[in-house]
Parts: sequence; C-alpha cells; structure tokens
Amino acid sequence: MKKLLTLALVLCMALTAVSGLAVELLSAGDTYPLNSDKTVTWYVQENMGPHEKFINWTESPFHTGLNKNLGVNVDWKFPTTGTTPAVFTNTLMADPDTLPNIMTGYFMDQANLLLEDEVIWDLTPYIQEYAPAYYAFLQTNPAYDKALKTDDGKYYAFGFFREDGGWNDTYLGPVVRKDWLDECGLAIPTTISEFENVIRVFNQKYGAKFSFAMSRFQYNGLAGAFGAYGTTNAGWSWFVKDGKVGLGQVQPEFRNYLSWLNMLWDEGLMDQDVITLDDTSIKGKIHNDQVGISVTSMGQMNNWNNERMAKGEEAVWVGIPYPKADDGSLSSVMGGFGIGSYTGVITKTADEETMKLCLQMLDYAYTQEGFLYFNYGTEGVSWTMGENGIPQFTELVTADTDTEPMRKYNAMTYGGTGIQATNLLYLKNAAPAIEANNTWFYNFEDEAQNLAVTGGWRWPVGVTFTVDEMDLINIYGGSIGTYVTESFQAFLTGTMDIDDDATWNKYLKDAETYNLSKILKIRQDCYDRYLAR
Amino acid sequence: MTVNPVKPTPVYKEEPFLKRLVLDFQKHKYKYLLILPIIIYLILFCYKPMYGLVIAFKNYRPTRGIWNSKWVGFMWFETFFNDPYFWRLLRNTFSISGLSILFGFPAPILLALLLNEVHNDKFKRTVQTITYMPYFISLVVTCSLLKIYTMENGLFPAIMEFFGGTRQNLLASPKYFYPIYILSDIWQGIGWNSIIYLAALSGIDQEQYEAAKIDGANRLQQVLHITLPGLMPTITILFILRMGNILNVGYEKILLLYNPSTYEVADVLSTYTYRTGLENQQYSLSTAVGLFNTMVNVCFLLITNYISKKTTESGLF
Amino acid sequence: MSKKQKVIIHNGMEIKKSTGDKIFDVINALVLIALCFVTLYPMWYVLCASFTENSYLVANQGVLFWPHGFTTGSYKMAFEHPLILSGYKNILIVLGVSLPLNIFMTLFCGYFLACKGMMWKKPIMFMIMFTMFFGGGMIPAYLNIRDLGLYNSLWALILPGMISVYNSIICRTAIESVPESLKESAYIDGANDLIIVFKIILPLIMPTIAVLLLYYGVGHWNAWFNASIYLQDNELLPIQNIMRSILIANSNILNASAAENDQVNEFAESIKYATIILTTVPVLCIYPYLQKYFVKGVMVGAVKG
Repeated sequence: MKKLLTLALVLCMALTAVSGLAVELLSAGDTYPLNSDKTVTWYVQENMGPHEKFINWTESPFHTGLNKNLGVNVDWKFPTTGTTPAVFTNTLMADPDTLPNIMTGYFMDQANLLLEDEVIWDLTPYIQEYAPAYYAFLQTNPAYDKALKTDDGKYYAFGFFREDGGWNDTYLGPVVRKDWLDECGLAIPTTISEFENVIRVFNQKYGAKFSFAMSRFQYNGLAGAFGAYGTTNAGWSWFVKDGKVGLGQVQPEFRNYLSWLNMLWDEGLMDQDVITLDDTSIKGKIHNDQVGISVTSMGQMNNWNNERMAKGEEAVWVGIPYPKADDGSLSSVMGGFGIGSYTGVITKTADEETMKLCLQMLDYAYTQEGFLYFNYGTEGVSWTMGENGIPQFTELVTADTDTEPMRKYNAMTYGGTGIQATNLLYLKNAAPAIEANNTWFYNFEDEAQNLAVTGGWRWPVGVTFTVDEMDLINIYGGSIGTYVTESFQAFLTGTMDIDDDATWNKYLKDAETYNLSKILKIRQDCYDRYLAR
Repeated sequence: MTVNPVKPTPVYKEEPFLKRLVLDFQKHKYKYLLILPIIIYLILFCYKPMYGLVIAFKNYRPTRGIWNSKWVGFMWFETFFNDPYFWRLLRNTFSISGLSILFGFPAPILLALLLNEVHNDKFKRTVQTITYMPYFISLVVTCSLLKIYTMENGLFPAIMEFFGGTRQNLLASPKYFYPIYILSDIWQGIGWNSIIYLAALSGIDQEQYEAAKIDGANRLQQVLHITLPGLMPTITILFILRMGNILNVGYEKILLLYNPSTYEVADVLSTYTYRTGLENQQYSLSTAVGLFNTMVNVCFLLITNYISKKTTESGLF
Repeated sequence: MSKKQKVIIHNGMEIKKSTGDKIFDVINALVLIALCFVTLYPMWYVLCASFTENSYLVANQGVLFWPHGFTTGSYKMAFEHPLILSGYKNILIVLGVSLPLNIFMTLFCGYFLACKGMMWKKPIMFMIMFTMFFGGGMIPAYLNIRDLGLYNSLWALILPGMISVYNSIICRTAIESVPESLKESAYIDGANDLIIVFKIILPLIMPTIAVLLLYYGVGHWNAWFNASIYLQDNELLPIQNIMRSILIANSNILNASAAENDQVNEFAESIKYATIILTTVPVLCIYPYLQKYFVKGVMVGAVKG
C-alpha cells in the first residue's frame, strides 16, 4: 500500500514537471526581428551544431530559422566535423583578434582571466537593458544568479539551465532484471540490505554476479546508503556538507562503503571483470544472463532492452531506487542543480554597438517565444501545441528515422545557451528510461530534502577560481585524483586491506603527500567566495 | 664491397675561407640546389613556429599569447619533478619502451628473414599482405577486442587455465600488462615494420648468394654472412632512431588498456601529460614534460650513435 | 647476367637441398601460416562484424566466423553521411599533390645527406635533424598556418607534411648502399648531380621508394588531426575525419559530451567495424602493386653492366 502511494506521488511529481513551464518567462513582445544589417559571427563549440545530415549550417532549419527570427545576419561557426571541440576552441582562442563575436563553450573556469585580459565583455552595465528576459530569468532563482556571476558580481555570460532543475543530471542509477526478481519472489529492493540480498539470491539461483561498467561509472552511486559522498563519475569527489568542502574518498563513511564492496568481492558476489568493463564489453554479460543487478544510465538501460527485443526477447531491465541505509537515510546520489557549465560570451571583437546587438540576440532564447523555438523549432512546422497545452513534435520529426531528428530543428536536445524544456527530455527518451530516471531522481517526497541528496552535496556549478588559484591547483592537484582512484581499486580487490586501521591511516597520511589539505584549502576559499556572492 | 681507396683531396683545402666558400658552391651547386627547397620548408614550417618552446618556461594562456604570458622559469619542471609519481612514471616509461625495443624491434627483422627464405612467390606475397593488415585496425577496436579476450571467461585466460594457470581477468593484474601490451604491439606492427627490411633485402646483390652457394655455404651461413650484413645499415639506423624515441610511449593504447589496478605499472609520461595537459589544457606543463622527454631522447640517440660509430663505423651522423 | 643462367643455378641448388633444409622449409612455412592465422582472424572478425546485426554482436563479442544475420545497414548508414564523397575526393587531391612532392623532396634530402665533401653539410644536417626532436607545438603551428594564409585550404594539409626527416634518413641509408663507384664513373662521364639522382640512384633504390610511397601515403591517409584544426569548412575534410565523426557519433566512449545522452542507434556496434573496412580496404588494395618492387631482388650487377 505504501509502495503504491509512493508510486502515485512520484507520478504526480513527474506530471507537474511536464505540464507548463516551471518558471514564467518574459514575452519577447515585438523586439524581434531586430532588422539589423550587421553581420555577427557566432561560434558554437558543441551541442548546438547542425545535425550530421547537413553539410553545413545553411542547410540546417534551426540555424537559418534563427537568423530569420532574430533578423540578424549570423555567420555561424562550428568546429569541423570529427574534431575534438575543446581543442578547436583553444586554438581559436590563441588568436584573440580574430575571435567570433559570440562564443559558446565552457568559459566559466576562465571567466576571471578572460575579463581581466579584456577578451570578453563585462556585461553588467548592459544586461538589464539589452537582455531583459535573461536578467529576469536569473532573478527567479538565487542559485541561477549566483552561478552566472563572478565573485565580484560581474555578469559575463549566458548560461544553460534545465527546466527540470536537475532531473536529467541524475541520469544513472541501479537497474535490475524484473523477470528474475519476480521469479524469486523478491520485492524491489529499497535498502542496502535488500539490495545485497538480491545480489545473493541471484548468485545462488542463476550464478549471476553484481557488475557494472566501472571504467565509465567509476563510483556507482551506492555510496549514499553509507552516508558517503562520491557518486560523480570522475576520479574526483569534491563534495560540500554544511559549508565545508571535502573529498569523498577520505571520509570514514566512504570506508564503510568500500568495506562493503570488498566483502562482495571476497565472497565472489561481484564480477571480477568489473575493473575493465565498459559500456560495450558489459553487454556480453548482460545478454548472457551473467548479471541480474547493475548500475547504468538511462540510455544504456534502454539499449539493453532494445537489444533484447531485437532478438525477440522481453524487455526486462527496469530502474530501481538508489538503496538507502537500513534506517532510511541517504546522503547522496548522482545528480546536479540543473545548471550547465556551458556558456555563451561576447568577445571584444564586437564593438559596443555590436555587443548590444549580441545581447539582444542571446536574450531571445530566454523569452517565451525563443524558449519554444530553441526547444522545438518553428510552430506548425516541427511541432504543434497538443490539447493538454504541451508541445508535441509533428510527423516531420516523429517519422524521421535519422538519429535524434529533433536536433535538425532545435538546439536544446543536449544543451546550449537557453533553457532545456523537461517536456523535450520526455519526448526524447523512451518511456522505460523516463520511468527509471523518476525512481532515481525522486528519492524523497520533501522537495528540499530531495534536492539535498541529488544536487545539494555537489561542488556547485559556477564557482570560479581566481587566476592564481587555478595555477596552484595545476601545480599541486595533478596526482591526487590518480592516487584515490588507484587506492579505491586496491581496497576493492583486497590488495590493500580496508578493514585494517593501520592501512587506512596510512592511506589518509599518504593523501597528504599529494597535497590534499592544500587543495581543500583552495577549494574552501573559492567556495566561501561563491557563498558570499 | 667496392670502395674507392684513394679519395682525391680537394685542391682548395689551403685557400682562404671566402674563396673556399665560393669554390664549394661551384663544385656542389646542384647538391645545394637540391637541398634548397627543403631548407626553405624547414624555416617556414619548423623553425618559424619553434618559438613555441618557450611556453615551457611561461605560464601560458591562449588568450594572452605566447609572448605576453608570464615567465615562470623552471616552475613547470619543478612541478613535474616534485610530483610524487615522477619516478614511477619514468620507471614505467623505460620499462615499456625497453621491453618493446628488446622484443618488438627484432620481431619484424625475424619475419623479414623468414620471408626471405620462402621461395614460393605466391605464398610469400600472401603472408606479407596478411601480416600487414592488423596495422590498419584502429586502436579502439584492437583494444576493445583485447579487453574481451582477456576477461575472466575470455579466450586467453581459458588457454592459460588449460596449461595449468589460474583463471583471472588478465588486464586487472599488473603482472600481465607488459606481456599484453608488447605482444599486441608486435602483432599489430610486425608486418608493417618488416616492409622496410624486405625492401633492404631486395637491394642485396643476388650474385652474392649464388657465389656462396657455389662455395657450398649452407642456408644459415648465407643468412649470417650475406643477408644480415646486407640488412645491417638499415637495422643500425632504425635502431638509433628507435633509441632516440625511448621516452615516447604513445598514450592512446595505454589509455585504452589501463585501469586503476594497473596504474602501478602502466602509467607513463604520455598518459600523465594527457591527463594534466590535454584534459586541463595545461599547455605549459605538457610542453615542459615534452622538452624533458626530448632531452632524454636526444641523449640516448647520441649515446647509441656514438657506440654504433665506434663498433660498426656506421651511424646517423 | 641473363635470366637463363640464373634459373639454371637455381635449379642446381634445388637438387642439392639437404634434409635439414627441407625440415627448415616446412617449419618456416608452418610458423608463417600460424602468424597469418593470428593476424588474419581479427581482420576477418572486423569484416564479419561489419555485416552482423547489432543485437547479435553485443551478446557474442570477440567470436565470429561468419556474418550473423547478414545486413548492410551499417554501410548504408555510413554512406548516407553527406560528406563521405567529398571526403574521398579531398584525400585523393591531397595524395595526388603530396606524394610526388614527398618523394622528390625526400630523395633530394636523402641524396644530399648521403653525399660527402660539402662545406655546409654538417650545419645543414644539424638543421634537419634538429627538427626531428624539437617543434613549437600545436598552437604556434596553428598560428603559423594562419600567418601563411593556408588556413582553411587543402594546402594546409599538404605543405606542413611535405617531408619527414625520418623518411629522409631511410632514403639516405638506401642511397648509401649504392656503390660509390657508380657515381664516380658517372661524374667522369660528365653527369651532374641531377642526372645522377634521377638516372642512377632512383632506379636502384626503387624498393625503398616504394616503401616511402607507402609510408607517406598511409601517413596522409590516416592523418586527421591537422585537418581538424587547420580547416573550417566541412566540405574540405578528408575521409578520415568523416569516419571519425561517424565513429564518435556512435560511441559514447569517445563522445564525452553526450555522456548523459547515450542512446545509440541500432547499428552502433557494427558501424565501428564498417568504418574500419571503408578506410582500410583502399590502402590494402594498393599494397600488392607496391609489393612487386621488393619481392624480387634488384640485380645491382645488371645495372652495373
């Protein structure tokens, strides 16, 4: 009964997220088209580029359409097909005099430097007048405004936001074979003990083991059940708790988590191949009944099911909630705030008049009309308003067999300078994946409590290091990531005994050799400045 | 060997410098003409951008440009030398490189010699073509196949179990990393790398073999006294060049094969620069490490060249 | 020496073949066949996998003796890419212009390095060798290309790779193996260096030239990095870059930015293999034509005579 109630609640929450827009955006009024005779160059590092089916942007409905809507002659620039986008951007930056007027990429880290060197415009004096919709949007959520300013309060960029507030940042979680669960008469596990029990039962009955693609999901997100932090998929697990910055892998809670993993390993319940598995190689196990419970992403789970169906088998993989501690507590799961680090800046190659024009152009995505255009394309062409007031793609998109055909008409499929509609994610992902992500994301009924476990513990987006701090991080921080990652596996496989206090203390002591305290200090200062914004 | 015993001494040896210069140009004008386009090329495409090396001594920021970035002296070198992993990186790089020179370098020579002993032309060509193929399979695919074959229930552990070993994931164990790395390298490059030796073999005067046969030399003797000496200049030069590459272990394959359990043996200089340099765009640090690499490489090249000069009288310069 | 004589001597040897020789021949053949098997199988696997259905491929990794559920879908998908034809065209242009330049430059450089007695040889040689170890790095090279006005043109792929020092040294080694006496007598006959390079050296080092052609050709064929930063228009990209983009679009391992959007299409696995076939087969086809230059020995004596 309780379960049913939770399910209903979860569905309810999901529905509120779909219907309408979570925040009110300003209407563009009659600002657009701007009818300018200027040519503006606009560089896009990734995500908002033309679909692979087009030779260049002149064939892309989104880009040509946007030029028309804005009433500006935009000369779009992208990294060439097949390039590593970050490298392409970096080479461009080496010649500041030839930079495109607008650049979208990952500029948050370098914000202070770029402003100091006058490579980009400080938008603070202009933003209210020339980008009213964006400015108004930033004021709707203090977290948004905080993330998109420097420590001394300067506006310099247009950001990427998810309307869902982090739903899609939790894109991975535990999955299970529903058919086996039913066969064994087990309920969906919700606590870590139940989770472990499922592993044991599956191992006895089917000889299956717990496994996941560790090279991709290094920290599988089960740490939360132990009160630990370290769910990010990178080698680093910087977290924030009660205003203090810490490193997940050196916390005592993390030790408990590791000890549990090591127990699974020793008892032969965990796949020994887990160390080398990636998304491709794990499929051999998934499709040969060697794994019954795992951790993976929405997309991969969907692929597993689709591949089964292609063979004429049933889709049996379903998402299950992140296991909680037996007392129902949970410290962290994979997640975020729904703010991206992808930003659009205006460079100094634009003179003041052009800069103002650029502001207006970038502002479009944050108006009601622009929001719809960036997410769905042109109304009546690629989408229509459904009866329930929710946009639906037309046959032009739904009948198109190319990969992600909506990318031909919109810009927000992956993200860019704008707001990604939750509905777009619902239209893009398959139903089982959406269902799975709901169970991964909605961990608590209380919204604030839920936010604390999904995004709240994470090192926030938009924290800016000073130029000097960045240098120090580069000098001191080179190897701590390697060290903790390496030790993680040594503890897991038992090369280093996790249950031995002397070994653990030595590990903590060694972490100092890799400048842990120095780095924590830098990060703490940086975080404090962020809080003070 | 046909060597002209008495080289005519240039008549202008005693002339004044300028005169000698003119005479030299006159005598070798065509040689200088031939090398001129290459010099122009080198100046335009190699020397002109070479100022970039200074970023190893600067705190380079792309937007500031190379000249306007701050001088930091040897800071990046210090950062690198002070890294707790420095010695491990150096040790691993030398190990992998040394092993691949020890086993990987002679392998294609051996293949070329074996092929040379085949008298059926069709068979020879077929073997050549087939062994040359793996070179073109991209590393991503080679390594993903390797990962699959080395998994606990994969092909290689099964073979090892058959011969009395224990079944385990080979890539998760540090002690199998080098064999896997080196053997797959040989497998992928043996055919491709033997081509240069085959070309050198075909340059050997066939008359020598026929003369030797008439003298009653057996095949091993022919190999030792004709084939190998014929290959020696090529082997020497390639060996010297290989030694001049001793610290260059490509990062791509290691990145694809290693995991935290094998960092201990597999983490090398190039993967270090990849992690610190390319991922974080730390061009200064990676240039500094690159410069260090180059210095060590040049030393090894010079030493090898010196030894080669002393013992075989042939060398790079 | 005439062909006839050679055959007779050869036949004479056949008769004299000892049992040891025969055993060696058999073992040699067996070793080579074994080598062929281990090198051929992965290529065969790649070929089969490129025609196999994705769902079968992901569940049965690494073992495939025949395409399963034969499908050409992955090839169809690759060919639907709008840039694939221009990609092949561009690489052919690059090869067509580059290879003659490469070969002549390398030959000249190798010849110069092999000659003795020039006053400027040492400094020039130092200048050449130095570039083998020291370079300015990516950013200065990029700025240089912009300076020279080569940005966004195919020349940016051709000129920076005009000569490889490594290859020049290989070429020099081959030239040095040509007997000095040939050159001496040509000088006496009044030939200059140009004539010697083209009329005497070139025919004698054809096997090495074939190797150099292969080295340069394969080098250009496989190169993608320069094109990715020196070019701006997709229409100018060579095939390798196009293949890379297909690969990246279908593999979330390479495509970090799509980490959370990793829904792949139904040919995701097999397309990896199809791109290998599409980029490898042309190179494999060229090889047999070059082979004839180094399977049969060059008769130095015949040239001498």
